[in-house]
Amino acid sequence: MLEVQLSAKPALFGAAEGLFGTKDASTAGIVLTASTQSTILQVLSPPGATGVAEKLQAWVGAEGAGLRPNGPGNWFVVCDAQPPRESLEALSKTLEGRAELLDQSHGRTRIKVSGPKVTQMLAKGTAIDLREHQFAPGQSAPTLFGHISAQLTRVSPENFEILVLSSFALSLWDSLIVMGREFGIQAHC
Amino acid sequence: MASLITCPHCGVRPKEEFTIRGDASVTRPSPEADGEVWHAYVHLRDNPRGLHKEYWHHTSGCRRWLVVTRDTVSHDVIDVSDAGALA
Ligand SMILES: [Zn+2]
Repeated sequence: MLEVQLSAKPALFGAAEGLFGTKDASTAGIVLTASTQSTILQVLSPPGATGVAEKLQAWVGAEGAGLRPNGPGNWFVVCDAQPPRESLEALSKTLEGRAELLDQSHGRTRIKVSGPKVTQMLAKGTAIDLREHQFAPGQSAPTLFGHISAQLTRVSPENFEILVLSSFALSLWDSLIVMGREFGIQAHC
Repeated sequence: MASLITCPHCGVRPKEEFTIRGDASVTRPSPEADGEVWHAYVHLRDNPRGLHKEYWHHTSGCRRWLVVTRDTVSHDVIDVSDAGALA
């Protein structure tokens, strides 16, 4: 029988890094990074549950975390670092009976794309209207990026986050480098 | 084919984000219904010229089932609503 050795490795293990399309980092129109230490929670609530968005909003406000609405009754909560255990327990308690919390830190990867050319570049991947009055800072939406489903968030005018299934992260990373090449792109994860 | 669908949850999106299941006007028969009725429900479809009501799934967005009413001649999308409202 064939022996299969399973080994754990980070989602962006072996990802391409460095400068592409330019030799000078100061002229890069795009910067590509990843936030690999994030805690990512998925929140799912049944139809008819009320007040979940408000409770989540209050919690992310207090924790300095981010809220990414992923569809009716469905959110992602992203934290740059692991939130205190008591705080997570409190969140789970306040949502009791209205929503379930699932740790997705292992299952999703946060890729960050920024720079003066970022909307031009992202427009190659998604059909979302990225003009600032249509997709303002703080807005987040699930969309198709190339052929990959992902959650796109505008953090600030020239700063975006793409939350993607970890098994697709490397493929998306490579596509982003190709898309960014014409603007000069600096990638490091 | 209509190329832009206004999802009630996500806003305007291209058809590539959706999966089309088909006719939303047929009603599932009872499990006891006879073979002819089931045959009609599963296999027989009209190919309307003009208004058509279909189930579309927002696969790469909110993952909700929607009911899209569109015109097969002009490609106009007349209405998009969450299928949960029909159930
Ligand atoms: Zn949708």
